[in-house]
Amino acid sequence: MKTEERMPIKSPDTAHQIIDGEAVIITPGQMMVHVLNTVGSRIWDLADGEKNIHDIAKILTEEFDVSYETALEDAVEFTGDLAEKKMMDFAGKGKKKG
Amino acid sequence: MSTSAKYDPYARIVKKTMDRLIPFTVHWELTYHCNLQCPHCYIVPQHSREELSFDHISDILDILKETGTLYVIFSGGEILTRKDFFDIAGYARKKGVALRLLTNGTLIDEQVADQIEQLNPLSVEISLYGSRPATHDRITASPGSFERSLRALKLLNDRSIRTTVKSLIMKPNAAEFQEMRKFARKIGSQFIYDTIVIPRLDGSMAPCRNRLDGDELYRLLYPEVREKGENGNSRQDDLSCTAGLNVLSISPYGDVYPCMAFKESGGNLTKDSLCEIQHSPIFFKIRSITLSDLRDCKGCELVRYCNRCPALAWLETGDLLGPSHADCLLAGVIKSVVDNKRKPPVTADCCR
Repeated sequence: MKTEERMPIKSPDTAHQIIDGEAVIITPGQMMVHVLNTVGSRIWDLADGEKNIHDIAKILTEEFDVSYETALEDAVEFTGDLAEKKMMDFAGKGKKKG
Repeated sequence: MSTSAKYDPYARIVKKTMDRLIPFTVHWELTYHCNLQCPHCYIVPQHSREELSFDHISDILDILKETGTLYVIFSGGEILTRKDFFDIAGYARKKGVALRLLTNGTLIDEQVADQIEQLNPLSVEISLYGSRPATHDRITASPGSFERSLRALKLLNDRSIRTTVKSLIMKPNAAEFQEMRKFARKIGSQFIYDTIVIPRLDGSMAPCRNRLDGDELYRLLYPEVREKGENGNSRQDDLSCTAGLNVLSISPYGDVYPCMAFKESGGNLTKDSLCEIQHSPIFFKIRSITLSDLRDCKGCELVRYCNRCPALAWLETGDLLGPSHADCLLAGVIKSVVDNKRKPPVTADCCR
């Protein structure tokens, strides 16, 4: 599966809330509080296990002043970073495009 | 893109939740049923009313999540007397809510500890009223409760669940304060305590008979007040309170209060919207209190050492704007230790 076909999903181990566009994420095991910036928060919000990274990057280009290539690169790096921190997983297999 | 945990962004968000009346933290008393009979308990169940069903609770959790709640503290009564407790807590976790569980621990066995582990709570806080079985069991009026609470702490700690030993220090257990603290440290739990016994919700002051007096408080608090020193003991001068701002409390019947101790309802979530409740007269009243409204407190020399609780003042005297005698006493003791105006107690342990 290509990296951009992976479908990020919030780890069920986290607790999270979005306040005024900013995501606050708690990892209870480590008792850490993470506050994401606006773009990171939007990626977090979109990580529902149904959209793949390509879908997320497309949405970012519509909502922020950013090219698809940059959005994709950011989304890949960011979701990978959160997955490493056990805050995010990748659901199932890549979504087939019609 | 930043993913780092920094205090400032978080503090900014907490302030935002206060400014916008977002119920960031909800203290939810799921049930008033309890298997212990502690005489200091403030709860007065209303037997004619039905406690919320799972369906009601899950609907309310949906609303809270949508409105901005991050933390829910589930307490009782005893939360584990509810047969559907794990359905409720599991639902909350599925919604991404961070949980703190307040329990006496006596109903936690291996299987229940496994279920709690699955919830991944922020912490489980277990009430302990002594370092000796006889002291604790006498206070809970339940023989064997000390051993069962200790077993719970061990089972949870074995599973690396963050636990807190939570105690209320009163005349019958003050002598065991330091032992309790040492015990909590030894088993890897946090230790938190309070010295203020609050009146019962029906106005009875009976639970307060066992409150420590000034001398007992002085002996109890002397070591840590000295350790913290002047700065560590002084607070802001505004006596502010977050009740009804980013904090609210829900009763087992769905009544909503500005905080857990201030039982003047702003409405009921089975028939009123959260927004209506947050803008009800009682919520508005408690939010609008400022130091200048507190006729006996403004200008008081103890203000900087006082953690005045409006709910406690109201419970003690029926006056939301008056002083709380218990808070005045405590602030006075802290000030006298900080000022070094009294001799140190003969022993750091109270009543030994």
